[in-house]
Amino acid sequence: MRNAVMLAGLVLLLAAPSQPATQQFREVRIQAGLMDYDGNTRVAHCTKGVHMKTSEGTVDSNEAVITLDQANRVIKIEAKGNVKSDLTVEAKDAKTGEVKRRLVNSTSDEANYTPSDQQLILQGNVKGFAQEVGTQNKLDLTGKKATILLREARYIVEDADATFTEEVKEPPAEPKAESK
Amino acid sequence: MSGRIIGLAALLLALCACGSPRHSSRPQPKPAPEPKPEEKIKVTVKGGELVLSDQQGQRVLEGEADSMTYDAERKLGTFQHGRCAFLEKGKVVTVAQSPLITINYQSNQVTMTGDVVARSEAHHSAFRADQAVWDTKQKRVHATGNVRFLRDQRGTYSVVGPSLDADTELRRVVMPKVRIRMVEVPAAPRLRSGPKGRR
Repeated sequence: MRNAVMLAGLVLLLAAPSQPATQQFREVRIQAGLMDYDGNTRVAHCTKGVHMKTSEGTVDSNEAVITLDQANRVIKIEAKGNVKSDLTVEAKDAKTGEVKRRLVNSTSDEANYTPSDQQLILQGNVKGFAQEVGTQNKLDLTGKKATILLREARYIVEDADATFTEEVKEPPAEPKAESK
Repeated sequence: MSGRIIGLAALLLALCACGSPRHSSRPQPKPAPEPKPEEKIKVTVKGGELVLSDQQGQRVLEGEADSMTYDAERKLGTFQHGRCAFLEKGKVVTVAQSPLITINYQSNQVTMTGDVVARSEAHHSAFRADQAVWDTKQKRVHATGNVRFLRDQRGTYSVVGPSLDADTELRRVVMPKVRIRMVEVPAAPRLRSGPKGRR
């Protein structure tokens, strides 16, 4: 049995209390047709098709802007144009200790990724879904902005239409009395 | 005796007078000068200093090499196992080394071939490549073949690609068909100043 809930024009917070499953090694890999790096601003402009890979999954876009700090650490990555995100996020339930994996699949006009807090903000014509692996629990959404907190596996959706589909487990059938 | 000597001298004088050309005052046509063989000066020096200056006489490159060959005809210096510094207004902007360095003293172009390693201290940038050509007039560098551009401090930003175009300071770098790897180095744990348990 499934329940479907329609939410419109509000902030939706899937706030499952959770903790990061593991301490993730911060590594980002990018493939691009052209890179233009400016040492004065410490900004690298990648164009001609960009494929970004993180420990959580991949983000494809037309172009991307990478900003580094003075110690060459990545401050943020801004992907622009036909952004397609395929991510798998893991989070440990604080109550049960169970590690849950969720698939997050989306398209948008822009996506901003900040590795320091492992946050992905999707903006403009956001369409996508988040599904818990191994279950039918699924969130379909269409809206203007969605923030994915990768470390905590939380999603904040603003000004959006969202459909949350939850798998309801039926209680186990009572054993029938044996007929004599 | 003396009469004989005088006679011999007179005979010699007469013979000389007969042997001399009759039209000695007329200018003789000079024979065409024979073509000289082309001068090919090639100097090889073991252990040498590399110096290249611009038109104003300011040094744009200086360094050293294990050995050098200079071709005067082509104004080409070839340096083996050279290490050099590129200068701008007297300051070092990039240091580079390569097994083979060729300097064209006409075009002020420096070509490094082999395992080229260049580093800009001011911008914490470096690159490796199979070949790199520095245009000291335009203050540009073009590297090709297995290029790896690196910025390395707390975080590592490394870019691999087939070629690189940059200014000599490696401030602005353009690379096509890149693979970028960005890794943040975790902060080292703080060392305790005193013995364990004592604060």
